[in-house]
Amino acid sequence: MTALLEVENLTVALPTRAGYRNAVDDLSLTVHAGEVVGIAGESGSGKTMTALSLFGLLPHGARVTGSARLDGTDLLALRGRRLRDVRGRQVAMVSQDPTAALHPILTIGTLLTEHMRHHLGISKSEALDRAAELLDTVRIPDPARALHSYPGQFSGGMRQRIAIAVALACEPRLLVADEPTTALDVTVQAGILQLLDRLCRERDMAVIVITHDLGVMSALARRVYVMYAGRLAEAGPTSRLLSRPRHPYTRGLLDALPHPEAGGAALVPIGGTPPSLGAVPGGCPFHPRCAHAVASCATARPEAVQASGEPGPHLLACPPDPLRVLA
Amino acid sequence: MTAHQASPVPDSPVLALTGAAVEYRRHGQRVRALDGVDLTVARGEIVGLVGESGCGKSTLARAAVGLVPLAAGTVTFEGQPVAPLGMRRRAGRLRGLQLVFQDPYESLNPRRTVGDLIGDGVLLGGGGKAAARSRALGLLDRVGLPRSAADGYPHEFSGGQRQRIAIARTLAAGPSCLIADEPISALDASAQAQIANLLTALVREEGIGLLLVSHDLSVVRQVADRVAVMYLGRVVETGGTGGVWSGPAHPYTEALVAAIPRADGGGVLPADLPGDVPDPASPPPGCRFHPRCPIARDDCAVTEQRLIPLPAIPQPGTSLAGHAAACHVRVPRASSPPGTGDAAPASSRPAPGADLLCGWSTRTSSTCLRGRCCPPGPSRFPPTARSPRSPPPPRPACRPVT
Repeated sequence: MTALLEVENLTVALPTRAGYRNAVDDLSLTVHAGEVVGIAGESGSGKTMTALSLFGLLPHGARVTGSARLDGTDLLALRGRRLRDVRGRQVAMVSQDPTAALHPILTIGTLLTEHMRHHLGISKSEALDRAAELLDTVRIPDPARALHSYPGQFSGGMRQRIAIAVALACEPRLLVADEPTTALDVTVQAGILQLLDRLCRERDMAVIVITHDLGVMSALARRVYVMYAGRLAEAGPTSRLLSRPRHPYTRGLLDALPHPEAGGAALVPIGGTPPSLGAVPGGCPFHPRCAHAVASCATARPEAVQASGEPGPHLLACPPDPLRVLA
Repeated sequence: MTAHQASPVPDSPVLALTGAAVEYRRHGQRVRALDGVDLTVARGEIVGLVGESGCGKSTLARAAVGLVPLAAGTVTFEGQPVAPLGMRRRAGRLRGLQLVFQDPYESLNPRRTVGDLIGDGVLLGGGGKAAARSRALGLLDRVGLPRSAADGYPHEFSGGQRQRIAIARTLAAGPSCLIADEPISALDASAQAQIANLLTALVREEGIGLLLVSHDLSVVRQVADRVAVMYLGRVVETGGTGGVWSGPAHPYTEALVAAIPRADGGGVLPADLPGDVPDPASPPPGCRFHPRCPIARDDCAVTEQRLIPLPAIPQPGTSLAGHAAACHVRVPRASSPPGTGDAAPASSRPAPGADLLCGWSTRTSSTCLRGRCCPPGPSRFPPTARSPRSPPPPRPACRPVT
């Protein structure tokens, strides 16, 4: 299996009042074709900035270093026309808020065919036929009529499905789904998750799913990268990572969320709040909130290295490794 | 804490909705967002209200505090009716009934200090400025914020901290009943657990009744004593949290439970419930869930469904007391008087004398042997297995019901 996307040493620095601060700090990740990879973490952990950097959509003034190679093409180095040729064609994005993602005064037909005609160079009627097929794929009832409707005429779950159809229109090789189901009900969420899983298997499309919901992660992703304050905390296969987390932050995320299998046990919140961009603590960024922190955690910045005792690739940025004994 | 809590009537609910209905107008058309809901909240009790968006949860929360007028039915707080908010000053006794809003970013005035925001409840109750200040400081302690926060402005705080401020603000009025409309949905993962634990502690320690409105069944399951499941303006199932979770009687509740993704790394996709919530302006006839229901029969489109109590069958670890569901397939109305809106053909009714009906196979008890007749999965909402590492689907419980 060859890597479709290889992100190496990605660093995104954003301007703050106190100068540039790293929203994403030295992140490396790999996505293979046909694979679903998850990025987990609380808000402010740099998940969305990682995604936006792949599309050249970072806020004004952001500085990016490192590389993100999609089949050998560095996405971070693309500008202008060459960037537009890749964006929407090779890589596509589904954002968290379907209401904001769909232009309210354009019909679904326009939204679905505009980029198809640009990228694929097909005629309008051909594009409309394909659009109707896509709407059928994402299970929108009566696609022919939906093409002439406006986003406001659909419910939240249907809008998110339309947003997915827009992203899929040019058959991208990589789909980035940023919190695709956070704004939706559980029943609708289940439908979207099944849809993403099916499309990924049928089209051999790679998906990066970004979410703080480890339940969604467990259902969809094969491998998970857990980020905290812009840095990689832990990365490994979903089954290992969720059943035997090695990083205290992953453990904390699992304990803080209510799970069906947790029984009636009380929720254990992670103390404190995630650090803001300007005030990331030195050493391990998680150490002020970590129950297992030792003195060295406050000084030495941990690098993600292969965790000892794991059967497969499993990166861990926690040198004391307190959960290894417990695992 | 206040006079409100000094006069508790044992076992009487602090908040009671009886046949509550709310109508909105849309394009001159009447839309019944809430249709005949009965619900009670007692002191020291957490009642969870769950359902998909558009089912009327928030309307119920607003109607319960009098923010929207009722079209029918009553809402009583401590035995007295809750008057809808109008031009007149709200009655002082209603200060014990408080609402926590969903979005802590919009429900706090950005131009006032946190101390002033919290002190409002004391000032409105006739207290002085000094009393309001000291109460605000005490409440900041109570909700786990530093006292120095009193001089800050809302924008200086994170979402979780703001929701704590909003809760402290309602506590200043000395409430005996809190209604929380999605209090943790807008928050980060770790802040969700903090706020859920804070609300639970308040209810247990101060004897406040709490109506927790949430679309997230797993959150409600963690904190609530009783659960009411709403669908399209009606309560379709109600009962003790453990009983409803482990043995949901209504197919809608079953679908809600099955749709929750499990964070066990098993790679099991949650079960899908096809379709969307219908437009409340034109609800389907009969059972409102029948167009999406996997076990719907022909007569479901005709027969109006009302809550029918499940017989109390003792099961280890769960209490079925007060468990009721509005589904005549799962809970045949054997005990209801004949002919009351029951248009089911005679053939689909339970045979006379069939006092037990297996909820899964719809066989009668004479043919259903617990653990034998019910097929060992897949259930009607089978989790979609994607890879060989998926564990086998859980075997559905064989649940005799009448």
